Amino acid sequence: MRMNSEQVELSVKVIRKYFADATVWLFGSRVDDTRKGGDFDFYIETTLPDIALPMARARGELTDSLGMKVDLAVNNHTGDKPIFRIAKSNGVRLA
Amino acid sequence: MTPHRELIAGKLRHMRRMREYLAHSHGNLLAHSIVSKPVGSLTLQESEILAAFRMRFSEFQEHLGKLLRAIAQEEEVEITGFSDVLAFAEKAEILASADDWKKARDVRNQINHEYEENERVLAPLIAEMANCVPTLFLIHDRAVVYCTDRLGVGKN
Repeated sequence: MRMNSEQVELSVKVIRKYFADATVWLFGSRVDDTRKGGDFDFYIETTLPDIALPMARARGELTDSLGMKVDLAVNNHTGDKPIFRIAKSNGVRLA
Repeated sequence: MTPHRELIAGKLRHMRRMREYLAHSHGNLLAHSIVSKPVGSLTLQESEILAAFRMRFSEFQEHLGKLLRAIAQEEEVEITGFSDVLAFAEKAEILASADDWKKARDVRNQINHEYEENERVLAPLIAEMANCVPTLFLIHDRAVVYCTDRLGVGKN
């Protein structure tokens, strides 16, 4: 995983500011140690019913904090998407 | 007038026009009650109104950001990132809070990221975008006043 402990701590803190009960995974190119650079892709599971605005704010704050493009896949268990299964199976759980 | 202040004057003229476009699109959005309709049920004409609103919102905020950056540069603010511009704009009372700017930016970025079929996410973002328009206009108003009063630009 190409993410240091400070980045992990910061990311989880920001994500839980908007999704208090979030379980968080890192997935995508950042879990591949053989690659360089790349966006941060986070997969989040939450029970929060309305995710649109928290997702927008969390994404903006994470982008500001990490200084890199960030993408979020947020699963609040209202529908299944292939990306959720891919992220959970290939990702690294952060919190 | 210095070349850089002329550049700011040009940006102010451009912003006036863009504001008219956004106000028109925002008015159309509200007049057709598009905010309260499911995106999937919009007619082609309503979809065009929504598309125009999204584009004009994005353009207006982008150019407003460029105007704020130009004002900060004119005031010799050391800029390493846009957060420096926002901090200056807050101090200059052009922005009541940098968070106002970030809210509009985050909603704009998120909406461009969503698929149309994702109704549950898209609908609140469209509503929030519509809510952000008066805030953007207020920031624009304050930027114009700052330019007029402090820089002597944009009086005509």
